[in-house]
Amino acid sequence: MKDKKIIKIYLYTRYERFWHWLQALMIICLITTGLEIHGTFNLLGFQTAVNIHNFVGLSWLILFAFFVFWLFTTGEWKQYIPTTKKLFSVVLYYAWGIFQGNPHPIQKSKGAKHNPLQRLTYLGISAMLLPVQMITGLLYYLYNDMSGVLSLSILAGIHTLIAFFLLNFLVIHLYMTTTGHSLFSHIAGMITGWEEVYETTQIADWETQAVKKK
Amino acid sequence: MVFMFASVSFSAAFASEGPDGNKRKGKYTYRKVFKACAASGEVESATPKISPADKTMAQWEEIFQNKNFDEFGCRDNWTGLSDNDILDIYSYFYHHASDSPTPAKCQ
Amino acid sequence: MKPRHFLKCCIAVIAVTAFFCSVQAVFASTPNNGEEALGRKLAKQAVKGSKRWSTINHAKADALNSDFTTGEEITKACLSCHSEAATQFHKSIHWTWLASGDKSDIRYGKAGYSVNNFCISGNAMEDKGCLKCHTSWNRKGVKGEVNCLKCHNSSGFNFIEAFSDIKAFSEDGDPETDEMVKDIQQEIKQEVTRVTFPTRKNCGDCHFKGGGGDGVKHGDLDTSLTKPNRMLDVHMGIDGKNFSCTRCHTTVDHNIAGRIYTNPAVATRKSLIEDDLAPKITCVSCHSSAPHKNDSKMNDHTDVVSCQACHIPTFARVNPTMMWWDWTKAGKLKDGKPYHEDGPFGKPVYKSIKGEFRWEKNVMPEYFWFNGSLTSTTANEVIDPAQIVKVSHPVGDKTDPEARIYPFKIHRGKQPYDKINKKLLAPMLSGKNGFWTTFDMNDAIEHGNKTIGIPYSGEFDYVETTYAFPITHMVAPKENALNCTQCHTRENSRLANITGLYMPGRDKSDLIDTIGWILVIGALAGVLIHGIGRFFIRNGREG
Repeated sequence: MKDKKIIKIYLYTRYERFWHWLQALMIICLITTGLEIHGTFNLLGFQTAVNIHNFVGLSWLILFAFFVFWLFTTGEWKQYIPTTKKLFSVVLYYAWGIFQGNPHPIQKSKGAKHNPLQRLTYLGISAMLLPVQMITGLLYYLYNDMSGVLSLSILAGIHTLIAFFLLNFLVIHLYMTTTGHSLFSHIAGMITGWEEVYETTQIADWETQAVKKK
Repeated sequence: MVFMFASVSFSAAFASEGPDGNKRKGKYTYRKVFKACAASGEVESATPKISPADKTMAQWEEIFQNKNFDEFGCRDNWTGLSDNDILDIYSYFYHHASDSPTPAKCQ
Repeated sequence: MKPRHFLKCCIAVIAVTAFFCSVQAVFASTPNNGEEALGRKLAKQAVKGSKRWSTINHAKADALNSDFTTGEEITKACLSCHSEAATQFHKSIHWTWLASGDKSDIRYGKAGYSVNNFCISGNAMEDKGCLKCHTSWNRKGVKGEVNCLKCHNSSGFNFIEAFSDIKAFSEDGDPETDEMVKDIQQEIKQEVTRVTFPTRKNCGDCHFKGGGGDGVKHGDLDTSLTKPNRMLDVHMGIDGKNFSCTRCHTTVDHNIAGRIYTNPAVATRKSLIEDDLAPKITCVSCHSSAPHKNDSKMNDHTDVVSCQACHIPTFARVNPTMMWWDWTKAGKLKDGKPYHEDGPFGKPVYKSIKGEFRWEKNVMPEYFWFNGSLTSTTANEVIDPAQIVKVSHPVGDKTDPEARIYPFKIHRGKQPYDKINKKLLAPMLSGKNGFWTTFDMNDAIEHGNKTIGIPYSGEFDYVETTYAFPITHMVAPKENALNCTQCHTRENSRLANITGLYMPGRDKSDLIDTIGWILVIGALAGVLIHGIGRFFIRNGREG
């Protein structure tokens, strides 16, 4: 066994963490109010649910623009480039290896915060699901002014289907955060910004200033 | 003799299909009674409070046969009325009672 | 803590607080700025100049200071000044009882071929029982003189009874009654001067009691509207605006707005801003089509949902209304005599002369697309007796730009139809040949159909029918307007029968929902199994 010393590296900036939790809050809010509008249950009252859903949805649209701006100006967009390298070994790890007590085939690093499976998932969400959801949401909101050009049932259908995809992602994502060294280590990482990695991980020189010796 | 004849015919009026006095005249006689009543200050307004539609035919029959006019008030005005007048008023009330074909309310 | 950190913390706290304060605004359904809704502001403007100013006191009119012995004499007195009133009135529907106002077109109207599932037909004004509500003296119909007092006298005095008493007393030779005649005539002189524009009671004496009793027909018009409070109707409430009928039912040349047979009451909905001479009969005329404040979503509904749909949650809120009239049961006698039975609400549930009834209170309307006109099945149209016949039904559908969703009272019943000719029949009801005297329906139909000139085969049966009344009165205060979930709900939506449009909360794609929930529940199951697996197996491995 190699020397498995755990060190912390600073992976998530303030804005990134802020955005993560804000978006999480907004998505949970939107899914809850969205399901109420869908007729699944009664919680806040239809009118309140609609008002909140509209407000948060429109806010998200605006705030998402900031996120995209940040992605491109900081170069963070590179973290989302999909790759098939080691994709299969990651899948195999979660399906089997994790039960064997094996180490994760990919360690996080500043240059690569997401493993290949994450990259694919997050890209799909950020570049496809979320934009489609926002567009359909916006068109749904402005439906009355469009004088019948679109079919509301199709718009609503797409919006609902993607909402279910996102809820499905949320369930899996919440669970996956517990697959770190300890149950809450990844969650702590997204709060403090510091992630735990094994020291034997290849860390480039330019990153050493961010390394804290335990 | 005349008295007996009068009282017999008076009761005969009750016996058949209700009283056969002049119900049209009875309506106005009744109103006159109440106007006098109001003038003397015994009741508040000249519009009578009790209408024919307030009771059934059977109830009016009982009231008028027993000459029990307490509900109307103004005893003095009632005692001053002639038998014919009372018969007319009775006809008006009976033929416009609540269970008659044409119930009436005083306005 | 370092000052720089402290500063950053402060900024973060301020930013988050600001965000949540703006979220608060979303919860408040009414803003704090006290600004009035556009609809209310415009409506107040519309009724601002409503005080009428008159140039006459009718108590001083010589023409009315006369010992009248008949109603016709009074009309002559009115016409001595209001010279054109009768000619004008003769052209209106209140006189002719025909929808087009022209004798050449008798398709629609109580004096024409129109039938309903109440008293069925007016039999071309030959059923005198109906003529109590005609605007003529002494039930003469169009052959008589106009009775101005029916609409224009506010005293409530029974002139017809007074004249009948005068006539009887003048002919009986009784000196006592001659005195009474003088008294009556004094009274008439006093009451005849109480001239006014029609009050709610004037209109209501007929329109609240159609179909033979209080609240039988319309559901949103009954005697509770004579002196309502604003909980019953915000416009007519005596503690509200106290509007008379003519405030909305704009009248020109004695033509009163609001009549719907096949033509809508008004061609297009226009607010007074767009056209200040538009009739005030629609809500939009005074309130505009964007009357709600700050809540643009409600204003977004007004092109598809009528104002009445949300603002009249139930009708017949004070007095009950009739919902069912079964003529098949009519004619049963007790000891050879007609009788009646009362039921809940103290209302009759059976009358020998009419049949079986059912009454309801606080009735939830039924909703239909309505572009303003109704289809009418008259006595001259072929019906399909195997179906429920829609004697009167709203016209409209989603694709009609003029149509909106409106509330209706649907009155149901069973009435006679011609088995051979397959048309609805018009039995005569009152009078010596009427059903109410003979209790012979076949005979009544023979006489009745003759009056309207439609042949009768001699064989009749009964068919189930419906009759629709638009609900537009008994507007509730805005606090009592419908909640969103009354319609935007999956079960028991008020609009369950409205098809052709997607309503969030009510409609969904079953396919998408199935896929969606399989994904979500599947994910939950998956992570549960995975987690339990990790828990047990990993714990086993790590010594």
